[in-house]
Amino acid sequence: MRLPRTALAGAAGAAVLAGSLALTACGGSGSAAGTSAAASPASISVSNAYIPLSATPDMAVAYFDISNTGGSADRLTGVSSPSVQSAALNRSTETSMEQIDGVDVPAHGSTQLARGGTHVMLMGLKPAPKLGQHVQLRLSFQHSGTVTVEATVQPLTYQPSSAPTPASSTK
Amino acid sequence: MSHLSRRSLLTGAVAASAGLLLAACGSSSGSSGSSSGGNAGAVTQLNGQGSSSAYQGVSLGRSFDKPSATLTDTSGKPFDIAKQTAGKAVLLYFGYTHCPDVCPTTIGDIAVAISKLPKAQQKSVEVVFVTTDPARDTPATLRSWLNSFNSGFIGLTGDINTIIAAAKSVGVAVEAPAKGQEPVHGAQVLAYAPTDDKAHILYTSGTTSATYLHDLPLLIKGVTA
Repeated sequence: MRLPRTALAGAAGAAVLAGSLALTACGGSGSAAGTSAAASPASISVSNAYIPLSATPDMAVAYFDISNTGGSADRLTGVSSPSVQSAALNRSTETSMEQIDGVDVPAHGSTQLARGGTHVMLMGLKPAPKLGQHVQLRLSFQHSGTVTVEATVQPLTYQPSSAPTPASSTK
Repeated sequence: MSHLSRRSLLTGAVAASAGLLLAACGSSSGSSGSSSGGNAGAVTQLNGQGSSSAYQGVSLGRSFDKPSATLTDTSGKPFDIAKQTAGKAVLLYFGYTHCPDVCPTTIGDIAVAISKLPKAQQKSVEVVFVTTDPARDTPATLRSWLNSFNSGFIGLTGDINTIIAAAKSVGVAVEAPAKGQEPVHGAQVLAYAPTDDKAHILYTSGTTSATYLHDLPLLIKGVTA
């Protein structure tokens, strides 16, 4: 489903950042109709961040929703946390799991990191998470910089009521 | 509204930038989660088609026997899957405890569904979790992990080749773990009726606890399709 990296159709949101310029190409995206000058910058907010209390002592996983009210796409490129040894963006596949280098957030759109799909794998949480506790996550976006969010530690089997179907895609 | 040509946009971009990063989105909807979400979508579709079945799970269109395999349970004793679960409603799943996302979600959704059944029905269901990562999943590791969900769940480990063969016999793909790679395992759950000890229904990854809660009483009753 992923377009090859050479695909540059309809480059949208050529926002100039300090020192570097990034192009995000979204094939067929409606926002491609706007010129780079006309598109408003990405405006990112992150909500519903949670970490299910893990059944495995040395690892956990984080999920959250990203919404973008801006006119330009953005991309989550990494996650870090002062409470973990390492954090990685992963995607569950049909039979396994793969590390990914980013998660796209379309202009005027949203993306869910949800059970059975894209998630943040957290290794070596210190101290061990407790129910109700908050764990700080620092999300790095290509255009919007760092967004800090407090993920709530939820019960192991918690499913957010806003997402009755895990891994459903959002529009 | 004027549309910049790709060439002029690129030329300008290169000229203006110290470093150029290019990223291609997955689709016009731009949700990068949608590729994995396809799995859940397939479930919904299949559920919709199976209107002749009382189950919300996916009708297999054939039946599977239980694997004829003897593995090791969490107390370290030999466990003959077919013999020791005979006459019980059984949910069979192959996974591993260092699986951060799909395995705990699947076992968690099953555990939540079972916790909502009447007590008598809870005792009529066996959940059998067979590790696909036996080098790391010792009986003690399995017990501790499963206890986080339900202390009655059965955990089995053993020789990886026995596990691969057991999985293959019921249509589940399992590969021997390779160093530095995530273990590979089919994420479906097979549901065995207590009446004929055969699986007629399966649940793919992303099945909700509500679906399990709907189907388990049927399975316990021995409804076979």
